[in-house]
Amino acid sequence: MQLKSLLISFGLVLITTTLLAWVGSDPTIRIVSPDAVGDADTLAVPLNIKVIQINTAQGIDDAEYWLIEEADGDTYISAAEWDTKTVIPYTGATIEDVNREASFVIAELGTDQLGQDSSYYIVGVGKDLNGDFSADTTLIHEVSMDGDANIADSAIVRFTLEDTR
Amino acid sequence: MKRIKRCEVVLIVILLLAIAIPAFAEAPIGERIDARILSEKAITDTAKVKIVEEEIQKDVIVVSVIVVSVIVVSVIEIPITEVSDSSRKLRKAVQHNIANTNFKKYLREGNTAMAQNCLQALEVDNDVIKTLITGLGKEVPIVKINDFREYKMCRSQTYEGESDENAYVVSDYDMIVKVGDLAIFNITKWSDAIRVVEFMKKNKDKLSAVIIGWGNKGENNFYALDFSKYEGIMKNHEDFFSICKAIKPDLPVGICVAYKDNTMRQWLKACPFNYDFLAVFNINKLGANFEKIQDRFPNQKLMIGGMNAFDDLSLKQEYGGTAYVNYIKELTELGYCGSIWIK
Repeated sequence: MQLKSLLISFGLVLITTTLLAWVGSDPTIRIVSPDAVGDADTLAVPLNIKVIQINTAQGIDDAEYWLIEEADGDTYISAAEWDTKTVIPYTGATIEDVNREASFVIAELGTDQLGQDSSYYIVGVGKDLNGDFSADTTLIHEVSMDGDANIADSAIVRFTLEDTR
Repeated sequence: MKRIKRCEVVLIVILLLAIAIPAFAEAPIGERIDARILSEKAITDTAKVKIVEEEIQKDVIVVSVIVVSVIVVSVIEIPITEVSDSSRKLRKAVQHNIANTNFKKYLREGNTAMAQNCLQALEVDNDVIKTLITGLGKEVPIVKINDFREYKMCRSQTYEGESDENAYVVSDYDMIVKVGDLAIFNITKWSDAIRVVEFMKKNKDKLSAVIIGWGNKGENNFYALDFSKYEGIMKNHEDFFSICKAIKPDLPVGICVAYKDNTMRQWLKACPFNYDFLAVFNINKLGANFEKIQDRFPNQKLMIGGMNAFDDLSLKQEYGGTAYVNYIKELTELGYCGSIWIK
């Protein structure tokens, strides 16, 4: 084999090897308000739920958010609590095609949805155009407000209602 | 600031020499040639060839001395011939490489006479040269692609000789092309534009399409995030586009784009020529939202470039199953022009 052929083959192996790694996505769902990282907000109604959905790679197809009421006073979403989840913003619709750095309001929650002195979780999961999700919803039960390997801390928030306005 | 003693300076110099001397002595011939071309500012072909020959001679002498000093003279006749033969081949390869670089340069400058000279110097067939030169610089309309084609590619992405394989990055320009194949050229320095000319002339009537730019060793919109480099990378694409279109104007020629939201628009904006379709990479799941993907590239013909291209083999999907059939049906209905399935 000529040296040039060898070099070309070697080069192509390098090039094509990197190609299969040429796939990736970095979907981020960030619940900005209430603060999903601090998880210590005590808020009054009505409150705006503000989020950021961003994926610099495969974009955002849609995202879903759920409200879960805290039942046992801990900082974990139990399987029983997860079963009571309701979709925000209650229309059953997903929030489509929003892929940007700027935050936006997905819903205003009032006394119809939130009870005084109760604590709640909001969980957000996004889907990219390749069909991949930012988190696996079947693994979300028994997850702490700080997230885990499946769901990022920024996509799960715990907050408490202070008072009705 | 601490004052450096004389003995410390000596020690540092010795250390530097200890690092530098072996590095220089063991530098591969290619690097040595590149370094000399740069340091001696060799611009002309004659100067470059002189450097190449001198560097080759260095290697030949070193090998010969070692052999002669260890083995009996009568035994070394063949090794020396081999070394000499290798050096001839290497010289030819380097000359070809220089000719290839010059050929691309002349193509860009629109200097067809010099481009023709490069091909003639390498004894490229006159008929091939004539076809290329006649076709260069002509306006080519965008090819209207009405049909949908399914392609299959091996995971190595180069041709493996499997019976159902009909898409590949061309690595052997002498390979036997089947009717309907999709040939892919990467645009790195490893790609040989002159051999592409010959390949295209020989196989133009068998190929169903060509894709330019595949992986490109990081020169793609997945890894390259500096938009200012896109124009230069696209110029490299244009060399191959011009060759393909000069030889077969009605052959669909596409370029690769990674579905990457923060770079793909700038990538396509930097493209100076009218490609016929886009091979969209970074979409590898049968359940992707192909309608929205189509919407992101308005008025473009799309091909899914790397369906099933998973690093993690446990994620591989079933070829030919219900999900696959539905995928092909959906792409066809949405007006895509093809799909490349990574086996």
